Amino acid sequence: MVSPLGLDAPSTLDALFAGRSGIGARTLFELPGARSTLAAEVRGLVAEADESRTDAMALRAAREALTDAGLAPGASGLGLIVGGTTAGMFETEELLVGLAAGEGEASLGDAMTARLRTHPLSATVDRLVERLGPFELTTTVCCACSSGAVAAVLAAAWIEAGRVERVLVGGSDALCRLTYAGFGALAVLSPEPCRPFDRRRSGLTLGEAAAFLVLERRESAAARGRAPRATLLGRALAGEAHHITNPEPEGRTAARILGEAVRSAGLAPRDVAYLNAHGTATPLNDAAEASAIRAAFGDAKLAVSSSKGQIGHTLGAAGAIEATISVAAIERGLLPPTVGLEEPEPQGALDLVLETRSVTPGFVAVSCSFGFGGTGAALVLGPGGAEAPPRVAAAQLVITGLGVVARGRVLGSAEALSLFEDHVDELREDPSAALDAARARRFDRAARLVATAMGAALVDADVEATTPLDRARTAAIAGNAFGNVDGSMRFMRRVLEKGAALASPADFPNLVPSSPVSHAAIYHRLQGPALCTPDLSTSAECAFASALALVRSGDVEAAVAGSVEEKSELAGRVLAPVLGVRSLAATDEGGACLVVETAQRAEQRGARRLACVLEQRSSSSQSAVAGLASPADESVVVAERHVDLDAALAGTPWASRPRRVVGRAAGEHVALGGVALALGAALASTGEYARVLVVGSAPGRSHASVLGPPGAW
Amino acid sequence: MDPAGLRKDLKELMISELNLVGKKPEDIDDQASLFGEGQVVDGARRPSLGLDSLDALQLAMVVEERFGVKIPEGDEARAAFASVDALALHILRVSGAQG
Repeated sequence: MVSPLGLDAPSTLDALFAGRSGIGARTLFELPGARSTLAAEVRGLVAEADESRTDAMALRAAREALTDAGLAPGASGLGLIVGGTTAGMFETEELLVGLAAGEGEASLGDAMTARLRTHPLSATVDRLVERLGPFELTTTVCCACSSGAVAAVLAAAWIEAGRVERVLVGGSDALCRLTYAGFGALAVLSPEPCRPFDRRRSGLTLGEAAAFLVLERRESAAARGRAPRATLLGRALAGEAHHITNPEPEGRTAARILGEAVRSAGLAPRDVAYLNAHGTATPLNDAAEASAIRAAFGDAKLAVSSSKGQIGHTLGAAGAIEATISVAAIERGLLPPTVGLEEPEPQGALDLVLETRSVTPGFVAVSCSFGFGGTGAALVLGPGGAEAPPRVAAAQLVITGLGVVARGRVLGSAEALSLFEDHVDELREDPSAALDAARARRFDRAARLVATAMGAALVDADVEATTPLDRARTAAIAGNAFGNVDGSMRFMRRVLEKGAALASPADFPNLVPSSPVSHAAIYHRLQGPALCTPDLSTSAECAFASALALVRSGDVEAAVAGSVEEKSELAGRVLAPVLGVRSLAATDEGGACLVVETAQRAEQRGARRLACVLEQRSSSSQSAVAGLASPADESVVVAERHVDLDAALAGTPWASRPRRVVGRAAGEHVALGGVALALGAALASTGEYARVLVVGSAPGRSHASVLGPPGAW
Repeated sequence: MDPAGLRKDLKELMISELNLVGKKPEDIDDQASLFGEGQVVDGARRPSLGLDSLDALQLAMVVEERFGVKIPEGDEARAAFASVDALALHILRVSGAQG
């Protein structure tokens, strides 16, 4: 743990329970016209020259977590999930504003190149792989301010789905001008230190931090002679599908998340002694959260506090920070205070903890987080000796729908196979033109494309079904390599030129990396979580892997997952050469999404199967194909054309199988991996192949998915 | 400032800044509510543009940029944002006082 209160977990936690605050004058950057001069900064952090503050904090915290768990870097069976929203934005935002204006490109030296490599959200995973890897499976997950908590839910799903034995999971987010100006524009940044749940609360204080945990089965820990610090007894996650920034006023979905989390732990509301709230101190959040807590816990008298008056709102790290605080609270028998709270909101009627309270250790705690776009998660934590109720993972998953956006066309499973062709049609009209103009008025280009591809996939999944997909329990997961880098720089240029007071409130929400998928979820009324899995040219593979795990574990009923990318001038011209991803030199927009559900549920609703999901493997150090079972006789390998198949298949029995490569008809963009997955499913649906292997790759990443025909089981 | 011209400018600003696709300035009633479902006056519900709090923030920012007039936060904003007419009046009053 690295926080404004200390550079490791013990110092942070000691200061936290002592009631100290890390909020002070902002020193990292000047921002004329800003609403506040305060921040919760990490002091004394040393970042290497080629490292962002986000990465430096993540590395410190992740190393501390591994050591605490008695694991060495590169331990077997280890996965990595990083939640975040800003990555190297602080280090690159001024540089990119200049580069966007065409300044100084000729002089882009080694130092600038190294700095630019920290820009994408996936850079933190890269840093941790380099220093603490290899890992069996890695992903970045962003759903704004609930990223850290959702990362922990995904980690549990990975383990239950049998993908990995243990996961190093957490979140890291550094302060930057963009988020500071953005939250200011939304009028939620408080000029004074924040006051969670106080009658006079006037907004949040931004902070920065990183926290990581090691999650594994009790038996795995015991095999190394380690006793667990705490047990993840239950969890839940969902999306509001309500508004891109505002929470549901009555906190209905938040209440559903809290209730489901407690039930999933096999507990009743009265069994929970303490809740570490999201508690950002904005008027809207705290009111909605307070009604959600009352609705979920009723008369059960649980103690509630928010740690944001001490650590600030650390965005993508907050969920991981607060889960770690909850673990320490259970171990130490201390309930953390709510610093800044003096006059509890009367209508809240919660047992708010104002000052640290001593209790008997070993209680049950809930840690919850909610983010822009409406995705929230709750973790139910108990003492190390507690037993979580068993969960049964679904064995059989199927793909029931797909939607592809390619050179102005929108294709379902019936037409997708034409994209193996190299014939390039004339560019059609705007593929997103069918979206309802009023409901899509806030969408940026990426959101329009994701909503279009997801819409096509959802229609495709209901083609022959007697019962439509249950959208209330369907997740929306989409990768995007860089988020809205062009829009971010337009926003920042305005802030730097005109001052933070004229930052655009309407533009800022679209700069959150998960914004396109959140818009799509709101548009299609999908009330599972809306997640973004940015991972360069393997974003779709990470989205697919996350979807498979969450459906298998029962955290959601179905997922629509993939990757759809806009054409980005800055990504293509500046970031593509720096990151060495060939398809980043995008000339087109496009991508694809697939609908994943259990075979049992698909059968119940009479849905047509396109493909069965037989196996999926990933690796940060070698070709993922190496670990696969041998191919059956009638097998085929599918990839997009930038994947080096000779290298990926070398030395495996798959090397001799026929290959199909995504054609130029699909366009040229960084989301071609999603198109490869969709075409793999379309090929499997023909029944001509016993096995379809889809290979995806990006620097330091390899994914292999094996699909079978509809009747594989 | 010419009030009629100002109202037209405001409508054009709203359409472009809030991306009110398909709307033209003449589609927006001077008296129509900007936010919520529209007030009931004399038993009839006035039309509303159905904008929300995020639109209000954007509108306040562009009005400040374009006209140099701050829209107060909180309850006072409600009056200034009641309609295009009310917003134009607020701008004229504040800039008149300043000028």
